[in-house]
Amino acid sequence: MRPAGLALVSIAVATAAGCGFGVADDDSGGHRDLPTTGAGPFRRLPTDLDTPVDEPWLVTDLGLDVTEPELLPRPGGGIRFFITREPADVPIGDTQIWLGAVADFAALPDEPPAPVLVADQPWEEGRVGAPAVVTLADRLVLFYEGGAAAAPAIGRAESTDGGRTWHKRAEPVLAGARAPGAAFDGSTWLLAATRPDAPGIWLARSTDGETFALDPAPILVARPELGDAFDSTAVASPCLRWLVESSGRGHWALWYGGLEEAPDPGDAPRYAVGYAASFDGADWQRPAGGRPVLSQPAGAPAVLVDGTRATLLYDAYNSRRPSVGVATHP
Amino acid sequence: MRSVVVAALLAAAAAPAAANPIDLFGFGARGQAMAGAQVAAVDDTSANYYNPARLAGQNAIRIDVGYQLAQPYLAIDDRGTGVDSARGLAIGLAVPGQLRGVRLALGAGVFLPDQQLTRTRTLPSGQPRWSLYDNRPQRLFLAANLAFELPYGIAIGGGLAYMSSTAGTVALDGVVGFPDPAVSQLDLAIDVDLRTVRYPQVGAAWRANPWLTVAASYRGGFALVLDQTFDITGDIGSPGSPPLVDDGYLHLRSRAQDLFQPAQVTAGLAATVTPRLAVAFDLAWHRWSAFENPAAKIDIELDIGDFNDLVDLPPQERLPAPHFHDIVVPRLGVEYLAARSARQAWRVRGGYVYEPTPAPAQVGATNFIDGDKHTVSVGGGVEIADLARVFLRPVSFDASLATTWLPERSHTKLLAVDPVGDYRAGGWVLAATLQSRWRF
Repeated sequence: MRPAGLALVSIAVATAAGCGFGVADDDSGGHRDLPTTGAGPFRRLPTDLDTPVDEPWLVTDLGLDVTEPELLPRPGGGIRFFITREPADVPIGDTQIWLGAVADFAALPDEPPAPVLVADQPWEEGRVGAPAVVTLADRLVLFYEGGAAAAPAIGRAESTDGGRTWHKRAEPVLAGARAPGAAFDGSTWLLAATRPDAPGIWLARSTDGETFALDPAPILVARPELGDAFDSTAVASPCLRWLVESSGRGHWALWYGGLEEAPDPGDAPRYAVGYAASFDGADWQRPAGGRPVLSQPAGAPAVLVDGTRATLLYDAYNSRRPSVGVATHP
Repeated sequence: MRSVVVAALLAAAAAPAAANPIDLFGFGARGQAMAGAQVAAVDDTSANYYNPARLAGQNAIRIDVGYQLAQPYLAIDDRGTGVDSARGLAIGLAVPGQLRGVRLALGAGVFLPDQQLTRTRTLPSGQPRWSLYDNRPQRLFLAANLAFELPYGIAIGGGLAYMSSTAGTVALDGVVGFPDPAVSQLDLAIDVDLRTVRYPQVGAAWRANPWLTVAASYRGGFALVLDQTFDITGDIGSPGSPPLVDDGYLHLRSRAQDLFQPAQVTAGLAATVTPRLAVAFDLAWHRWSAFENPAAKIDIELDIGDFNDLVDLPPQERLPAPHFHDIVVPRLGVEYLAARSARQAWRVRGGYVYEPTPAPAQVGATNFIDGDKHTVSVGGGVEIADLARVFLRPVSFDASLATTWLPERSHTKLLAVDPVGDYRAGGWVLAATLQSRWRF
């Protein structure tokens, strides 16, 4: 290039740049795809009048209770969710586990919930619910609550078709326990649950996923010593996951419902969601401060963590009916 | 009122560490191409940044105009985090003169970003961020200097560089609607100052002999503070009805470190090894140990009468110290006269700088991500005499390209309950400059 031409090009570039005709974008960046372990804080889906969805609710029914969600990633996108739901016909209390799927929380479920597990074993006493699913390479393993309210137990079932049909184990894997949360780290199964006769969240351990031994003491209990902690009165409804981080190291993550105050007679408890974690499954830590990761009312959490984003399903009252809502982090 | 308190608490945040774009990417094409090894080697208006003393050697009025661009590609766990580019106009001026027989020079340098003059950004405490890149480059840089040439080949210079900090108050006065906030009737007053922050920079240079110059410079450190105050006063209730609370009051003050630049001391030399080859070497000390946790420190006062007992304002948790440490940065640059004719002189340049990270591995609650930096730079330029038969003195056109590699670094957390968990972080930063240098 001739020197004069070089000068003109240089001046033109400088002038254009000075006028703001840069070559890169102007977005305020630096916070895209940041890692998270799902320890929150979570925010409920904000109301969007342009969607057909009644945010933050994923499933709500004016006539029936919808509670105790569980969720899994769906191959190809979106999530599969399980819920505890009671059919419209009598008798009352004969809950079932239903399965649905949704591609996007801004849209209605593209697979509307349908029953996939009903009570048909003697020990279940007409009731199954509180699903907790562990994903293995070739199948799903479901732990669920069944039996009478005063004598609950946790059963086990397996599915090889993505949860549409299940093959049950005849006997429960853990008696005297309810509201299971389950995870598997490749060698050890942990089953978190609450017990009708002992407060706290308890762990049972297994190497085969079928024979569980209950720990002698709970791993989490209420913290009355922290007077204003969200879980100063009770802890319940654990959701357990085994998360492997980018370093290759894994840890157990547990979300649970915490109760600050016992409800007045006739009122429903108002849970908030808390978080705890452990590297070894024995020593459990809770974040300092006694604050929840999702404010009340939100109970029975189920969480899906994909490395940069966490999705939490919870149950809470939508007007007068328990429903399942969605919260996300970040 | 309570929702306002909650919103304000949610705004409690941490700002990134930082300095200015020139610190990161250099000033001018020649300096960038020589990896910033310029404290003794600088020969143009970029002395306004590298070493004000070197302004004194000018024998003509100089105006340098260039455009600089830096594009980071920084990733956490192999996913790009979208750190912003930095780009803008770099202009330098040097005017030589004499005072009672002493040669002197006035100089000024400015980097004018073409995205925003400055950025004030707060991030949630604990959120991972690239501490030295996230908020650092989006800054206006302005420096003014004066240099003297003394006997025995000695020159000294100094000046001030300018930044601005932000202090502001948002005041709302009236009726805070309750239970429906939408019926609030509030008068709004906003008072925000961009306050000038000056920091010194001084330098000295000694031309020991015709082929060797040694020099040193000092650049002051500073911390810009983002000081925000929210004052809400008034009754709480429904307009037209007796208020639930008379003369409610909320005062919230948030002070965050918006920007930090470490004090820097640099010593270096420039040697003309052969008539065609010049070599420059700098060694710089950066006082990063003074860096404090930039998270917001918040004071809240709330008076809502009988409802005070219903609002529990937790005390702010103590901010963990970042534990940055001082670093020593070596820089090596070379310049080679590749071709010369009666009207043109072509030069090629190269350089390398190793900048160790001042940040420790992020094993606790903080996530001030950084890593060691290896920068390789290349560039070149042509000096043209009698350009278009208009300019009497030579005019230079220069270009440079620098690549900074941050090797992947693992951060393994001590606590299982850490909300971020373990991660790996690394990446690249590409920087380029086009510049023209004019003498009159």
